[in-house]
Amino acid sequence: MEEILMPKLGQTTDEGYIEAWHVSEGDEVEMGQPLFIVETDKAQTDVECVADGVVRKIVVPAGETVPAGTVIAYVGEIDEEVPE
Amino acid sequence: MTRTMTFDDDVLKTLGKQESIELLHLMVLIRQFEQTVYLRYLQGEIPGTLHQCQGQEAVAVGVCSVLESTDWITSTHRPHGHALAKGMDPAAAMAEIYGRETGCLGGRGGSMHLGDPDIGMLPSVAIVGGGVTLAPGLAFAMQTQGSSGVVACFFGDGAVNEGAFHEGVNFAAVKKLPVIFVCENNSYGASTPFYETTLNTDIASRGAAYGIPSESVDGMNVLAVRTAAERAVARARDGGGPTLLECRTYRYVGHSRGDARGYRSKDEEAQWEERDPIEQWKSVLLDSGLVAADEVDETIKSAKAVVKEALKSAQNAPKAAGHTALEPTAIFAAPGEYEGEPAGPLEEDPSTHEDDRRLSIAEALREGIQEEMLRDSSVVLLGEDVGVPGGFGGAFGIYLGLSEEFGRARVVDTPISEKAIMGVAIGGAIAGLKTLPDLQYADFIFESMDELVNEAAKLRYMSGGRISIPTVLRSPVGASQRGAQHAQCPESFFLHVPGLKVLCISDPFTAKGGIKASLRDPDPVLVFEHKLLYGAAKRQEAGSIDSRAYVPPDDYEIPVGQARIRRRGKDVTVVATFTELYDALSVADDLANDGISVEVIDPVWLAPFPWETIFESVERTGRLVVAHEAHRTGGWGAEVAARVSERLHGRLKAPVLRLGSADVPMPFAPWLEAAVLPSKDQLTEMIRHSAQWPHHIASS
Repeated sequence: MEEILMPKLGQTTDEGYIEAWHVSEGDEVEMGQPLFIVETDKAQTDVECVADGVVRKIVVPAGETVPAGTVIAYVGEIDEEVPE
Repeated sequence: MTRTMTFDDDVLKTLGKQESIELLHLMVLIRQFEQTVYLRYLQGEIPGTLHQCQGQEAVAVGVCSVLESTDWITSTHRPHGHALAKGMDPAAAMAEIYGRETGCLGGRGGSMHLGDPDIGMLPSVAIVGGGVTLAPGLAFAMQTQGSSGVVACFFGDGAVNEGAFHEGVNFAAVKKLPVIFVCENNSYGASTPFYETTLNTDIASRGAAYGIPSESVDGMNVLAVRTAAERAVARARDGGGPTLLECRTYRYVGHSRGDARGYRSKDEEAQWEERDPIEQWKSVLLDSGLVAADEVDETIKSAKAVVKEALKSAQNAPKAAGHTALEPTAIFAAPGEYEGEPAGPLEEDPSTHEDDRRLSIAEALREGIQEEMLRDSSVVLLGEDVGVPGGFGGAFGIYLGLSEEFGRARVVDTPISEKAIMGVAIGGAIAGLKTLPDLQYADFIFESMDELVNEAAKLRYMSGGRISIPTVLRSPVGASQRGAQHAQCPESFFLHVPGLKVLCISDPFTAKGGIKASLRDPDPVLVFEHKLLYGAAKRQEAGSIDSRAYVPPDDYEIPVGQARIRRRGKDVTVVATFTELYDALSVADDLANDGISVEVIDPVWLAPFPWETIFESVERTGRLVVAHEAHRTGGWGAEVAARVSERLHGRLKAPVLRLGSADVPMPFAPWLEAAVLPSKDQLTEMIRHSAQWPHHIASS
């Protein structure tokens, strides 16, 4: 199971705002596929998926701001257990 | 996709199915590796920064596909593709980027320094152009050893404007060294377009300037790169010398992490991506019928699986332990400070034939070098004016007769290219020679500071202690009426560089035993000698001091790190080198008449420094004067003063005093020079001052 984290996107920013999700829970995704749009004080960026798999859980929905390093979603095999 | 790749069936048939699939596998492996690293970096799993090569895969893979595992490559700050193409285990590469114990260099190198001597890859050099002077050294060793090995030297377009490029390529050309200089021209040096910094953007055309073959190759076409490299490698193995290959390619990603690529257009990027080396090669393989679609899919799948495993292994590997960063053997192959007794005063000649074995420093050095060259056929001397018949025998005649005895393949005359001389000395030492580079004057060392400081001192450490660099750089120091640029005593600079040993020769006994010890040492040693102490028969300098002394005919080494107490005393310790050492001995004689007993210590080695000898002496005397010709500010005496103060504060009866040259460049006129140099009178005054502190009143 892969944890998808809020990246640290700039030298001066330690948090990011999730503007929108490109995928939903249950979607099959590929490594490099954009998962969600994150907005910082500097710019808007797509955050890409680190591995092939299925979006098992979206932890932080669109419209929220969280610190860098926060788990945003889980991507894994269809039968893998999702952490609470 | 636009296929600019042309191929003919014959070439493909010769290449064969297995090899064709292997090229695809490696390019996909590199691409997937880079993409994985990129995404994991963004997720905060990887420290530091990254320089990646997506888009440039065909160059690394095409060139390395024609190399043997015993051939070397040198790489750059963008080394991931080169490492994987040369056969590095992807798990070891990934773990290194993660800073893990299982990384190819145990976490000391990281993304910019991947390397592994076992696969023929030097820890990659992240100084632009740095590898271009080292590669000829590796090749020089192969040529000297009579092997048919070659070196592929990768660098970017930015490197061709470095002085190192000129010196390295010319050196390889004139010595016909087996090097393939591979320029990955991706059109940008960081964010700056190549054409903005370079009027002649035709890099391949530079081959003509050095008299070597060169060609411009489509770097998006793996077969074109491989074919050109094959020609170059065959020529090099055949003794035909180096080739310059300019491979025109493109990095899809930024220069490093955090580069948003605002300096180039999306159109330009799209045009290059249209010519993607992996997509082109896939289509060639499929269209030619050489490889079936399911085999292509299988190849891609298996390459991706390898990267997945590599990632898992790196993520699960332990972080490299902190203590491994400080292991003494990581820095030196022969670490450690000398723990025995210091040497005593120089021996008198025991023979009955007077003057039989009283040698000058020049003669003693020659004897030591000559004996080592006889004893060990891997010792090679290289420098300017060292072996030309009827020539100088080195700037101070030290090498006279050596080229007649050992031949010009071991006494190698070089271009006036200090960076290349030092780079070749380092590369040659890594690949099995014991090199003795000569730059004529210590002032010229600054031309080769990159090679000395960034390569000689660091490559062993960066390699995880897996390579050693037995090279000995001799340099004359000291003012001798030549003005500011043939006068300096730069030895103190190198105390600030972990990874170098520093020897100062002030007498003939130390000259012979010291040069032998240095040539047998597995680490880089800088040997400094003073021009006024040489006593060279051919060049007697004005103001020379007669330093002739008894030198045993035996085979002996002076221990690394051993100081010499030239004179025992009980009131004041004087630590001095070179001409100041002779002044100190003379002053000690004079002051003995006034009842001041002076102990005179020649530290001999500045790195490793003989601290215990100095501490032991100052504990007895309670007083210390340090004298050197190096400038006073930042001179090695400052370090001695600081350490003695830290260690023996309560025992000192007077402040530690330092004598050095005034902090001005050395002037030419002897009467101006004398005003800048430390004088015997000043030293006398300083020692009196120390001995009588706090009651001393300066004598008139």
